[in-house]
Amino acid sequence: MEENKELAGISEFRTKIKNLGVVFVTMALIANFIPAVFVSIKTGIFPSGTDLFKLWLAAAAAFGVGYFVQPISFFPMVNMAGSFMVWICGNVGELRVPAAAMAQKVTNCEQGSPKAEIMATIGIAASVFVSVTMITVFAIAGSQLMPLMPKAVLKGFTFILPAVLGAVYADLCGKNFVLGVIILVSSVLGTIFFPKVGIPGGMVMLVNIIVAVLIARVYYLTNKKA
Amino acid sequence: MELKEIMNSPMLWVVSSIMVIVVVLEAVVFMRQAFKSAEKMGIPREECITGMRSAMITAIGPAFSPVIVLIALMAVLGGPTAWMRMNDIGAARTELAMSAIATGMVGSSLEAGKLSLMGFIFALWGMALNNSGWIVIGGYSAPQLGKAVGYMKEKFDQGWVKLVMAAAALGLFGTLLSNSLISKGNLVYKNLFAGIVAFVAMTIISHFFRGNQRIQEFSLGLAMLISMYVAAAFF
Repeated sequence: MEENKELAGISEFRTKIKNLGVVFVTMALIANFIPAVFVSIKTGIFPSGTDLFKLWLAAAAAFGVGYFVQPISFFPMVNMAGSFMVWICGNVGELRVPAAAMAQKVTNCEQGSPKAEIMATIGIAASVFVSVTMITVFAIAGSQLMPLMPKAVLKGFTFILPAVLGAVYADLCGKNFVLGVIILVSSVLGTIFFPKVGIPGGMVMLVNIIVAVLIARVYYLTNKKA
Repeated sequence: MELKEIMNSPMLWVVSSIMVIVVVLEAVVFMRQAFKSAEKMGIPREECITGMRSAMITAIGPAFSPVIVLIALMAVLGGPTAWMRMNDIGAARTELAMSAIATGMVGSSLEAGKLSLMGFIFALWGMALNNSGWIVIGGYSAPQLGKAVGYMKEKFDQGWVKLVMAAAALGLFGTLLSNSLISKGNLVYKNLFAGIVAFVAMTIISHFFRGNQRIQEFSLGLAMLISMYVAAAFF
């Protein structure tokens, strides 16, 4: 009975989110172009069709692999509702996923369960309120605020990324600690050496993930035998 | 019209705010729906609030990362554009790289004082085109990816699927972590030190304070702060 209630609830949630999500994605897609259109109209300077195509080509060459690899890679962690949000608001790896993971952790969610899906949604939405508030405050008052911060605080800021990602990684390791450490070593080595053998920057992440899954397969088989 | 005038004009603030409003509105609507569905699923409201609170605490630290780039970007592209682009998709590095490419195409540059009006317009279009890659593919494909994951769960051995997903997540975050540790093909030792401290701190907090709900809510923020300031003290 309890289980049925949970399944019915999550399937209703998914249907509603699917309809809402498409609407928001479309709105974001339009909003994304409004400032460019506005400034072009205001100044009378429109890039030509050829220029726009060249710009798009440059973007796709530099980041095109990411358009595909990232949404697929992050999906298991953010689910459908999360995907509708994070590919609009960004900062996925260092901000949205940590927030979602913590929301799941403190409410003791089982990985991949309907409850985990709800908590990831709540976590990501909550992180949006925080980041938008902070970015807005600093955009308005920022240039005055930053110099007021003590030097020691500012110095710590240079370590934000390794600090948050190191902590998130430890959290992800969880029960598979040994596997986690092995994959971390392989990822560091891959990130250093794959570009040196000619694998393009955008593909390094994908190759690292494939290597990680292969390592997990070997680990799974050896542990099964033991 | 001059670049300086338009770059920080009130009207540009207004049109740039539309994206930020969409982002916030979506979060509000999804949050409400999640709370409603949680109730139907028998998840207590208090638990939802606990999850929300923990996510908010966790988000404070990492949100300083876009804030810092925001300050730098404001000086180059003006307040409204920097504010909008730090609130939407496209990592700080990506936005910077894209605007550098776009301004370069018209012989302009992001260096202080060198940005031309044409360069600014190309940067705006370039960032919009680039960001739509993620919005279109990440956003519109979400339902299909959901189906694919559901199919995988049904068809394959459960233990194996779970391990594949865990391994893929580890490979993904292993790469993100590596990117923050490696600069131009070399390990940056002070960043490596910060990463290891954060890893150890998080592991200790998760294991030794497992029973303490309050500490768990703060755990990621706490591990992050410890790492940042231990590293700052040493280097």
